[in-house]
Formats: sequence, structure tokens, C-alpha cells
Amino acid sequence: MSWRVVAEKEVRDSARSRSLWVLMTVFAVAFAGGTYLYGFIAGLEPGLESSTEAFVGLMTGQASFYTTSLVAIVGLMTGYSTVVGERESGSLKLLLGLPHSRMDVVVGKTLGRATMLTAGMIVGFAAALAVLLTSYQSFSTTAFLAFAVLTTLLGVAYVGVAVLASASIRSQTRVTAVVVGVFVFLKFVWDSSLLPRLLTYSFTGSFVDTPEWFDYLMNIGPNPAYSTVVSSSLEGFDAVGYYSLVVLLLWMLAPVALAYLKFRNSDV
Amino acid sequence: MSAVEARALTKRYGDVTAVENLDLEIEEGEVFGFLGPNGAGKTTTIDVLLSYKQPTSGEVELLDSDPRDRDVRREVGILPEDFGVYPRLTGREHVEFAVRSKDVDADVDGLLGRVGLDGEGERRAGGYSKGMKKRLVLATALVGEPDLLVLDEPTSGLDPNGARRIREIALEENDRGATVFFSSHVLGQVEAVCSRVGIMQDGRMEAVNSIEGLREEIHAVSRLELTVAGDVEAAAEAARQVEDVVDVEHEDEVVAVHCRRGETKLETLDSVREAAEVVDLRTREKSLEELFAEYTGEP
Repeated sequence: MSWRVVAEKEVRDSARSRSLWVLMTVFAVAFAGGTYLYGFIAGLEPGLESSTEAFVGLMTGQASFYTTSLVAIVGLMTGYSTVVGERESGSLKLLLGLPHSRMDVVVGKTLGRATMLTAGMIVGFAAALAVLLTSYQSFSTTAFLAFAVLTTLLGVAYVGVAVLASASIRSQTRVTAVVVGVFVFLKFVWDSSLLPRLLTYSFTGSFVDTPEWFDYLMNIGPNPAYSTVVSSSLEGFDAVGYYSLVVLLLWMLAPVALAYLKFRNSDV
Repeated sequence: MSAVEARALTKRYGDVTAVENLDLEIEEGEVFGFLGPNGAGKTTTIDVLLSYKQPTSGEVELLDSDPRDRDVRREVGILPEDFGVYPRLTGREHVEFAVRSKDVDADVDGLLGRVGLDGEGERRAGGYSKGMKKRLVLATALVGEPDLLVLDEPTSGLDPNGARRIREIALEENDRGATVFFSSHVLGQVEAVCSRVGIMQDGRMEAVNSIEGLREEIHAVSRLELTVAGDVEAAAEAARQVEDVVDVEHEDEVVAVHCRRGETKLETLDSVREAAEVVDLRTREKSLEELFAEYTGEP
């Protein structure tokens, strides 16, 4: 159970990091600002009430690029120095010199960072909530909560991805490069459906037809999976919805598990 | 029972062999000095002993158990050489973190005072000097009265008073019953505190012995210079007949005799006086620093 001690240390330490506070503030402001602007757009759309559902649908549908980019950047930046930062500073020797297993270190540090991210996102969502409550005619607690919780899960998944890079690579500079590469790949190569379409073409020989399994392929990416889960939570889950939920949970757990496997026997 | 045991330990980084086929056993209750010049492989050895690094081959046991076992780790206090601290946490928070990690009760202020950080506990460790950081990590190592203390170059970067305090703490801990593993590239730091020393050179353990034992192991500990009146050749020849005389040189009227042991000098003097008149004599003992240099090939 010593991961708890590690997580506590991690929160105490990172809560004093000025750069993390700046990051969280930028996130909160950008998120509240986005809520205001997109809420305004949602209100102008013909046939739509300015409802929380419409707003959430917009944020995770047409405007999902904005939401997922913001969350990915915050999540990756929260996690990218988790292990490599301590490796480079030498405090990893202090940490592992105490009776913590490698598992305690990976789990504890990831949970600590995820806690920081969650705290930052709660502030961001609180700001968004204030905007919603003052400028919208109706408010749906369920829709908002689903949005808040699932978006936080996506953020935690990105923390895990960053922790994987941080635990596998020995230099902070290279971790940064890899994390930027992951972001660019997911946003511009996957979410843009460029690679999913190419893969589909290699099976079907056609760029025009969209086979039934295309959604399953597309939703391997964390961002499309997240969007689908949010809309499913508003409109009801179908097979793709459940599949996407599993994918999202895997994105939360698998990178951290891999990070442990990479870190377990690595030299400090 | 042994506190530290390594069997046929080898650690390679690619083509470079940092530690080669090292055997080491440290008995419980010893203060063991681990000596060698920088780059000899001391820190790599310690890193493997403490599971910071994986051995390429060979086995390691701490306190007769797997060094990764948590219950064993709670009984090992560690001051690594190339450590870092958490710059945003205070000194006190570092020690408290160690207390919670080891799940023990400890007097945090007492520990900070013992290492000489009285009144510095509320400051963030990022503002500490190098020596203060070292004292701080030593305090975390002392938490929970560990059975084994591993101190890698604990005195380097400290002023003489700080270094003496560290040696005193090592002895105090040993009196309490702890085994102390004390590494240094400076012999003077360990000779006063260690019951045995091991000398490492180029990834190998060159010698393990008590300080006196090392002295005896090394040839030509003492040098005796006799100025004789009369037959210099005969005087030199007389010196050569004495047991434990290693080498004899003579130039003009001076005969220089290298003795294996300090006691040999008087016998040599008696023997030479039978062959020639001795008008003057000078002796020179090799310092331990020179012995160490002789082992490691470093001046």
C-alpha cells in the first residue's frame, strides 16, 4: 500500500509547481471561454434550444477538436515529467531507496498526477458551469456530469500515455518530443480519419464505401472513443457505444500497465 | 549472518564492463570501507546491490534476503552518491516522507538535529547547499534505525567538520548494532572508522582486508636509509641477509633498505652494524595514502 505515500508526496510536490498552476489556469480559462463561445454558437443553431445537451453534443461532436486537444495537452503536460524528471534530477534514487516497489512508484506517481489533473479539471468545469448557469435557459445535471466525468477520464488516459513515455525514455527532451509526436499523430493522423481511411482502403479498395466496422476502427483512438461515449451517455448506448467505453477504459489502464513493465527492470 | 553478499557480480553497459565477477561478503556489525578511485565501479556495485540497476550476471543478497523485498528495504538506510532532492518540499517533509514510507515512528526534529540541520527543516530543500542536501538524505537514511546503512561517498563535498560528523554518525550507528557500508575514494575518510576495507580498481575487487592486514600485504612498507662509514658493499650484503627485507640499494655511502614490516628495521640495523659502522640513519613509513595509491595505481 505504499503507493499511497508516493501519491501523497506527488500531490504535495506538484501542487507547489508554478508551471502546473499556470497550466491549470490556462486550461480553466480556455475551457470556460470555450464554453461561453460554443454555448453562444449552440444557441444560434436553428432548431436547437440552448440546452446543456446541445452544448455537450457540440463540445464532443463538431467542436470535439477543441475539447480533446485541450484535454490532451493538459493531460500530457501533467504527466510527461513524472518519471523522467525524477530520473534526471536523481530524486528517483531517493524514492527507490525508501521501501517502495517499482509498482508503488508507477502507480503512486500516476495517481498523484491524475489527482492534480482532476483538481485542475474540476476548476475548469466549475468555471464552465458558472457560464452555463448564467447564460443558458435550461440546465441538465446529468448531461453536464457525464461530460465532466468522461472528459476527466480522457484527461487521465493522457496522463497515463505521458507516464508511459516518461517511464520508458531516459531523457526529458526525448520524452517531450515523443509526447508531442503522440499528440500530432492522434489529432492529425488518426482523428482526422486519415489513417483509419487508408487502413479501410487497404481492406476494401474503396475510399467511398464506409464498411460497418469503420466506427470500431476509428474508435480505437481515444478521442473518437471519448466522443462516442459522451454521446452514448446522452442518447443511449449501442454496441459501438459500449465498445468505445471499453476502449476509453483501456486507454486509461494499458499505458500505465505498460509503463510499469518498462520501468520494472530498468536501470535508474 | 551477512549484511551484504554479492556472488560473481558482473555489470556491463554495452561493451563496457563496469563490475567484473565481484565477490563480496560483509558480516553483520562491521563497518566496511569500500575504497577505490573514481570510475573504479564502486557506485555501479552499490547501484546493483541496492537494485537501482540490474546485474548482468551474479547474485546479490542484503541481510540474507532478496534486496527487493520490502521488509528488507525497511531495514536498509541509503545515502546514494548521485541523488537529488525534491526542491519544492521542505527538509522536514523529506524526513516525514521517509518516516511514512518506512511506516515507523521517528523523531524528525531529532534526526534533523543529529545531521546538523537544526532550524533548517522548514526551508525548501531546493535552497539547500550540496552539503545540506547530503545531510538531509542521510537523515532520511537514518529513519527507523536500519540494520544496514549504505553510504556512497558520504563525505565528498562536505567541509572537514561535516565529514567528521558523518563519520561520527557512522560509528554511533555501528554502536547501536547497524552494519555500515561506507564508500569513498579517499582512504583517510574510512581508515578511522572501518574495521575492514575493500579496494576496488577497474571493476574488480583488488583486496579485502583490515587496514593492518593491507599494510602487511603490501611489500616494502618501511624504508630505512643508513649512512655507513666503511665497506658499503658489505653493509648492503648484510642487509640483504635479514628476513623480510625486500630490496636493498646503495649509492655512495648510503644504503637504502626496503622492509616488508616495520619491525624489520631494527634487525636490519643490527645486522648492518656488524659489517660496517653506521654514522646516520633515516626511516620513512609509508602512509596509508601511499599504500592505497600503490593498490590503485593512482598518485
